[in-house]
Amino acid sequence: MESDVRLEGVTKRFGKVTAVDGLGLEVSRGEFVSVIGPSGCGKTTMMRLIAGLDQPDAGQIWIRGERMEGVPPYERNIGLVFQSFALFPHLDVMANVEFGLRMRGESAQHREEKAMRALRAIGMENLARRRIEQLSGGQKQRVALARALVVEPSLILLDEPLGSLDAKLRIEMQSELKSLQRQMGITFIHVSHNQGEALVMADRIAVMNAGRFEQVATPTEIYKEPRTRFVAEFVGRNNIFEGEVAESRNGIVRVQTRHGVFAIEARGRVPAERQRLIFVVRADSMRPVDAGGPRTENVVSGVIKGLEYAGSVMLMVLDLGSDQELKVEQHESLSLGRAAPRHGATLTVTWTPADAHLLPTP
Amino acid sequence: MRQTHTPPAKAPALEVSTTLVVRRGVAFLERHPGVASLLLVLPGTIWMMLFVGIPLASIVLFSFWRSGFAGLVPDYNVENYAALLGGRTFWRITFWTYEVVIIALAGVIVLAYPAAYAIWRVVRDDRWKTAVLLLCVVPFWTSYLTRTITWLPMFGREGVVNRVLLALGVIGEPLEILLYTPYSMMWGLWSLYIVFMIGPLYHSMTKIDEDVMSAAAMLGATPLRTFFHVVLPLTRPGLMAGSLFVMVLGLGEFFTERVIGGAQNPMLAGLILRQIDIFQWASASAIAVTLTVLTLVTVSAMLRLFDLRKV
Amino acid sequence: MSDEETQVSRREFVHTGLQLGAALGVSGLGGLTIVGEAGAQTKRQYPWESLPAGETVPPTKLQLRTIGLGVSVQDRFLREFERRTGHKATGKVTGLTPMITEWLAGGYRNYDTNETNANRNAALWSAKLLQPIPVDKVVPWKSARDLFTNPKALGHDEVSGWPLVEIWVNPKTQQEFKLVPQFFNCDSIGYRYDLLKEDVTSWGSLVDPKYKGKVGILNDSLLTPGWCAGYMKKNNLAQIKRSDNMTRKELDTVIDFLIKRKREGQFRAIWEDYGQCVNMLASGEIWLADSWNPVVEDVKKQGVVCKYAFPKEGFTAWFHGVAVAKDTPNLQAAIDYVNFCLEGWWGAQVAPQGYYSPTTTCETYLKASKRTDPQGRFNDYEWWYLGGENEEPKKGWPIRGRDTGSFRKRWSNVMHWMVWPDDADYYAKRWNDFLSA
Repeated sequence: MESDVRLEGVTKRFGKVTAVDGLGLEVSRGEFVSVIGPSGCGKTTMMRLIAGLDQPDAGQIWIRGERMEGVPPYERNIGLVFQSFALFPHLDVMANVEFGLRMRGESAQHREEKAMRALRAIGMENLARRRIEQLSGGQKQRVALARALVVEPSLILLDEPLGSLDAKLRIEMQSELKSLQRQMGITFIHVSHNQGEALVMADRIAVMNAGRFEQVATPTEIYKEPRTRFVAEFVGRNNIFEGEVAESRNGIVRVQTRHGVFAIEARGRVPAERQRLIFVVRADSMRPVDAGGPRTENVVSGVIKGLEYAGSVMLMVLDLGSDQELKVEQHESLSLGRAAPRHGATLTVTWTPADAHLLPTP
Repeated sequence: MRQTHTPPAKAPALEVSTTLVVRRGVAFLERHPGVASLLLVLPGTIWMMLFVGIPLASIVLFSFWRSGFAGLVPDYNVENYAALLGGRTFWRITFWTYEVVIIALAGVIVLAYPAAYAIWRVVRDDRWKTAVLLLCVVPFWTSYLTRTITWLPMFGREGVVNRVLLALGVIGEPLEILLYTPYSMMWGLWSLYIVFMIGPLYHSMTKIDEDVMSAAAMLGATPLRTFFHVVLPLTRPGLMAGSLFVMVLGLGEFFTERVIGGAQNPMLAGLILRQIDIFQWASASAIAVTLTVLTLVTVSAMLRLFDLRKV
Repeated sequence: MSDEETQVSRREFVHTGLQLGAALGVSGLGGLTIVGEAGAQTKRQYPWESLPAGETVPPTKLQLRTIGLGVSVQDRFLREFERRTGHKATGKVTGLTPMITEWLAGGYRNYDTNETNANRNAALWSAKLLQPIPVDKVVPWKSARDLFTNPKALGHDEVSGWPLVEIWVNPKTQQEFKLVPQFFNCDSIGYRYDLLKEDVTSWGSLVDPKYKGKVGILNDSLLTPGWCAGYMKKNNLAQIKRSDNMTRKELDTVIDFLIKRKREGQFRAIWEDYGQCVNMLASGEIWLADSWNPVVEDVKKQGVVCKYAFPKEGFTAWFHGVAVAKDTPNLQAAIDYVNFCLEGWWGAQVAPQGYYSPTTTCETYLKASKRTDPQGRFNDYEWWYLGGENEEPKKGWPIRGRDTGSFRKRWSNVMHWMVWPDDADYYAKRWNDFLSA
């Protein structure tokens, strides 16, 4: 199938700063792609380039097979949902939703019908004549979405769409957005610095850093098999170890680190001995064990220097010495029958070789 | 140090009494917040009374007196108003004044919107924005005399405009309608007043969320339609403030008409000067009062149309 | 009526004054030639008399605070007065009406003298803000021109009694001044001879349809109807008894006539300001206008062919004088100032602007100077008072001297004086009708 949106070597410079650098991306029709990265990584620039609000210095953007060079934003038929919602403060809810239809010269009757349908879809048909300033944050969010969707765009761009909502509402809106997107079958490109949002909603995630994509993959892949150190650090809660291959045998690679030798499932890779490499172990793979227990491999001990309860999960930071920290995420049920961890106590944890993941590049 | 300067016995006593007075005063004001707020507005009120209230009241009073050759005579009558309002000339001049102000206002709006929009959207550098805004104020820096004379080389028979048009072959004879005709004063009025419109409009525009402008574009609005559907309605407060400025200035205008309009179609405010010229202070006051009332009525009608406080 | 002198020239004068001041300062510091009181006694009888260049009289306790038009209140004049008398002199430049209005509103306490147009001075006199000046205190008055002493003189108007009636407390005995004449002239028409290609010889040219759209007239409710009335009267176009002081009916006739002309597009512009009139004539925006002598001289200075008309109906005449405030603490300084203005030097200074001096004392100065004639043939007296080579009004172009001829010729041809009409209010009302028609 032809891709709905295609980026090819898209580059944009502001003065001496290269905001995005040779981006390439293909998005299929009806796909939900999240672009995540720290602030300043270029994700908003990329979105503005797709929208046509800025022009790339190099590279091409195609939407539905059409080259976008020279096409002004108002002819691109793209819906954009802003973090600030950017509703028209001088118009009421109805007129906001209708705006795009009005610009397309649709008749008053058509406009009204479509707008009402959109409002019904977001459950706001009773608030059609409300002034924008009288709406709550969530309602504004819905109106902004309805306004973008009602014109049946070929693509919806979401710029931190949930950024200004409170946590509870954000979670609600995540599922709402996702189901709406499935229903309508429209391509969504979503830009966020919040990996949680992306992991929940996206079909694919592009992790961006310093104007480039580090990895473009499904949420599971990104989560479980980060390709770069940056992705590993940015997505999920990962522990990163560096070391030298000591032995590679029977599908198990043993790596010598400052904290001992660790076994890692090779998953088909056969690294040479003495090769330096990085491997990653997720914080939730850590299992506490009693010190001096039967396990001898993949065991480390450290002093608890950070403790945090997050609902049913406990987050701990262990100090392994030599400036290395270890993040441990533990479900409450696993700690049953053990003494509650406390600051300054020593904790020993372990993980299986299958829980460790070798990064493809050092 | 202190003891050498003031008798030791007296100084503490004085201190005690002052602090006591202050403390009692503060306590009193806390019990009577109405008095406190009254005290707060008192200086401003006195200022307004001295420099606005009393002169205005005097003018109202004089308008019911009679002018002698060498001053006012407190001989109460309404003759000044009767003569003024009863004459056809006054009404003709009044209607003409409003006509001028409305045309001036319309022109200023049409000219100021693109200018303010350009400063907002096109000029990117803040220093340049300031520079361009300052340029609009330049007509106010020039002197009385300069302003009187500069229009001749521009719009005169031998002026720049005529020369250019003649050279381009647009006209065969120099145009005379550019100066000293009823509407030629618009050059002057527009150049003078446009800053009063550009300022508030520009201010209103900068308050428009950049995302809202992008949102309009994303919804398919061309820049022109964005202007009419988004910028125009959102800059109404600026438009209103600017219109009030222009209206009030315009109603008090006479000078521009005299020097660029050829003085053949006088404005209301000019009548006041004419009366003062011949020492008719009483009737001058009556015209001033009438003009003030007309201005107040106009301004309140405009405010009714659109409440500035809402924004 | 006089001009409200341009700001440009005022700036020049201030500049000159500064230079003069600096020069005086230097000579004072050097202690070169300060004339002691004894010395002054022997050399000069009065403090206002001329003083050799470079000398300065030490300051007195008196001061002179005057107000007037830019024409007469000039820094260089005040500095010269200060140098001669030692009285500290300050002046405020303002307009014809404001200087009266300011006094009437109580400002007279801040001034010692008011240099005013005679037709407005009655406002100050009748408000009792002035004091009469005995004629024997004004020493140069013994050289006064006939016009200001003799009711039979050329230019005297028997009907209005002008100018004597505004000068003297009692014009018959002539013992006390209400207003001491300072300078005077008469107004007519300025015209671009090169554009008209003929000489203007009547006020009627201003309302002649031949010059439709080329005419400028002064925005003045008294003066403009005045010359128009004189024109209509002298040419039997209307029954008017006194063109300087009309009845309502007479004025109606004149205004209706002007309105008709205005509607036909006779007037290109109604001028407001001295500089504006100079510019409009110089640029050819208008070809002729009721005008003032200095306006025409200024246009000529730009190298433009402009003339001042000798209208067959006569000129409109005016004079300015110095009035002395009732309660001035500086009476002697005020009297010295009046004498200073008539001593001759002052009168010679204003001659090149086209103004005449009420005393003949300026002749000595003018005869000794050849500033005007570019060929250096005529001295300034011959040029400005005798008309240069034009004893008679001069036809055509070029002209050397005064285009309207000699002083005698001009003052034998006065239509009326600019008096304050009895019904000035009605003049203003009808003038507004004219303007808004």
